[in-house]
Amino acid sequence: MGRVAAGVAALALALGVAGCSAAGGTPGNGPTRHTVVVLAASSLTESLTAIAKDFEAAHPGTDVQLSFAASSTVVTQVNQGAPADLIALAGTSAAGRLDAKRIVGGSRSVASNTLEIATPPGNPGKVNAITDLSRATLKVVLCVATAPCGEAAAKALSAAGVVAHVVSYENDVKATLAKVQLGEADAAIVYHSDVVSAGGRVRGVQIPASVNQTLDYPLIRLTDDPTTAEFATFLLSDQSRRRLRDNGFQTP
Amino acid sequence: MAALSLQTDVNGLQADVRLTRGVLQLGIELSAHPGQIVAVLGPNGSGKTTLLHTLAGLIRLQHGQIHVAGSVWDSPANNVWMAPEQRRTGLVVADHLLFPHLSVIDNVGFGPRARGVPKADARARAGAELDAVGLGDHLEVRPGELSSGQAQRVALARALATDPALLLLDEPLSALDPTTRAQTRADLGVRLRAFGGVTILVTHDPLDALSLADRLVFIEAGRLVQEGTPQEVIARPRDAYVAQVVGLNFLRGQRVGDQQVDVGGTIVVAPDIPTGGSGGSVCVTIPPSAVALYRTRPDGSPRNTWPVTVSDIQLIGQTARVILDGPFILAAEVTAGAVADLRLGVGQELWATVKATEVSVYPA
Amino acid sequence: MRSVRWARAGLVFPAWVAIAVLLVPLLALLLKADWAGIPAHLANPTVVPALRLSLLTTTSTLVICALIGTPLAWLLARSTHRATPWLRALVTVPLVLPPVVGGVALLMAYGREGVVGRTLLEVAGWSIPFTPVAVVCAEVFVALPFYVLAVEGAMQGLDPRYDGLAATLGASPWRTFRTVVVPMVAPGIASGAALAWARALGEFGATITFAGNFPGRTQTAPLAVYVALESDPQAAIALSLVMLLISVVILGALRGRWLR
Repeated sequence: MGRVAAGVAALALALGVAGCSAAGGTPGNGPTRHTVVVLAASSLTESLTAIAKDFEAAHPGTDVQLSFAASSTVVTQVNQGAPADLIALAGTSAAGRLDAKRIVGGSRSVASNTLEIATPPGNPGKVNAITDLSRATLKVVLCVATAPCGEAAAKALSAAGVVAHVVSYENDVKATLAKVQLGEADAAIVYHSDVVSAGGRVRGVQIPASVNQTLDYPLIRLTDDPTTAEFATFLLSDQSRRRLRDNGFQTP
Repeated sequence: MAALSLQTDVNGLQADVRLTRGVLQLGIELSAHPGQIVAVLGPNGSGKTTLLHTLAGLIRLQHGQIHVAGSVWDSPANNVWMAPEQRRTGLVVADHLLFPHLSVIDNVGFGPRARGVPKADARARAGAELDAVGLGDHLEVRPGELSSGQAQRVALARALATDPALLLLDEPLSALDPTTRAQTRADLGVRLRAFGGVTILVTHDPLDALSLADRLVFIEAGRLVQEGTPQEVIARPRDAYVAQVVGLNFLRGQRVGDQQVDVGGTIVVAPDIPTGGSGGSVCVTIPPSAVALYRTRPDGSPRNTWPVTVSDIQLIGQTARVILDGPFILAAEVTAGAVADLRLGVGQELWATVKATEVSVYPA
Repeated sequence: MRSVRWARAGLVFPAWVAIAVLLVPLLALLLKADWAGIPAHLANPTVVPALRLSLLTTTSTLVICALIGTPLAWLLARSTHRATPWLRALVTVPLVLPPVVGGVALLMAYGREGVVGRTLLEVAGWSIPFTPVAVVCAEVFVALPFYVLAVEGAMQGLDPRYDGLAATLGASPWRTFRTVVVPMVAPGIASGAALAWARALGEFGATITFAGNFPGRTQTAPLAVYVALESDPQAAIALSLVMLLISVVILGALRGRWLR
């Protein structure tokens, strides 16, 4: 009897704990907090990190917590209840999957990005144009079709009438870039901002404007906490725009 | 170091085993002709198992050589060494070590199969060997279902199935309970007599040695201390350990007269002591049953009378073995009744007497 | 009397918590699945190729582990060399290494610019990353330690005197290994094989880093689940259930006979 009771108690405890965390960790709308939790597309890694530091310097006592992943992953996490105040996605199609009930405000575009081909510095694959990507001896890496960069790359390739010789679909744009940086891939389609932030470790090859895709980066608020609102506004300031442009984005 | 006085047959075993292993320094010369059963006895750590393993090829010699049935098995001087799988040996250990995943007949057939004999022939051979040890109707049984005595017989059959020139038995009966041991000893004796190769039997048990062996070899600290036929050894042990094995009291002394031996300052009287031997050194043996015990000093004939103190008493059925401390250590064998009569207890002071006619003396 | 009950409850309660920790997520998976829609999800063109690739690669991994791992286990069990403990520690390293780190290490070794890979490319014109061979490499790297350590444990329990005895009966070292050692440690081998196979089936980090992700060629079941999670969580759950079922069936079959 005692053993069964102990077992039921333990199971109830475990389920209860599970229930609590599933009920959503929406950071309540209580008194002014000084933490802002931001989930963002991985292409924003370098720029958002710099902007967050600027914000924290200008507003002492605040703490901006950043987490980067593929936009589709961000959306999945938020839908499953991940605690976030603000999200910044690459492209508007990922935003379409977002659970509308969670949106409090925003959807302003904070930046935009275009695609670019990245190759290792020595260009071992001799890739100089988008049409080169169809060569059978090449190792081309793209993002997964469910990620914004993968979706956009597919559109660009089809507009150019090119069937790329792909060997792998990486989960997000940074992983795609990594394969090129390690010299494992001959070419990858990533964002212009990634080529800029990689500096000399990667060589860029332009994609003609006629087939290139532009992605807008919507900024969506999930809570109406004042500090969050301040940070959202800060992202649209001149200082932040400069940061974004330095990292290869275009700003509205 | 006893000299090898035996006729060495080129078809048998001639071994000169010399090696050092840790604290053991082994230096033994051993030979036997086909059909002989040689028992090797000695205290723990004397090197008996090491000797066996060297003959089997599981340990290499550092010096010396091993010849069996006309082939050289190990000769460091000539850089010759035959791997164990190439030697014609059979090994039986105390706890059988039958392969648990094979049936009895497959266990026995393992050797022939390993040497390339076709399956059917190996099975037939195995069957014949199992018949010879009386287990012909246990062919498909697993070793786990056998009694310990049966398992040892299967182990023997397995060792003999490869038709070895040299059969090595390492305390084959020590893991058996007393009743099984007696029966298995008898079966072993029958099988060994029929075996045509050389048998080396290592044992602790004097009964094994005395009932099974043609020759006894005693080893202590890696050296040979005595060898001979069972009769020779029983009559004339030349070492305390050997004497203990055959159950005699053993003393060393100097001949000081026709009928007197000086043992560490005490005189022991014996019937005519032969001369000869190295400088008058002699061995003295006294059967425990010849030692009589008295509470007070007896008068009368025995001229061997010594004051002793009881240091240990062991009761075995109707007999008691009493260890006495006096001018030398003696073991006396008395009846259980005598223990009661004398009210024997450890620390008790008594008088021990031995008739001179019961004392045996011979050159060392 | 009462103190005994409390003592028993003291151990029983944490044990139940442990059971709950394992059981609750699995039950949740079963409860949240859209059972009616499963056939449709499984009809997705990436599912069957992913399962087939996983089963193919894990089987190859198992064979390789058995062929190279059994002799290594034997060496570790019987060797008295001073370096043996170090060798054993080396075998344990992939166990504690994060899988992604393993993947990076594999790239450094066998990638196009890799220490070995560079020569392989020049001499044979062949590059391992992005091929099913790379998947097997990643799986073997993470699964081999499980196999070797389980089998070594079993072999250490084997009385070393059997080797010598078999030799006196005329068996060469190879024959002894084949007909005496291996059969006698068969339960240990089965146990090690089950562990290694399970580990290989679930391998993700090293696979995606070293082999990449390409449907039909390098997209194993775990990778397919991860990718599906982005676009269609129900498809991910369906595939997860299939993997769970396969694992339970195989481990359950082994449990009765070999694992104790």
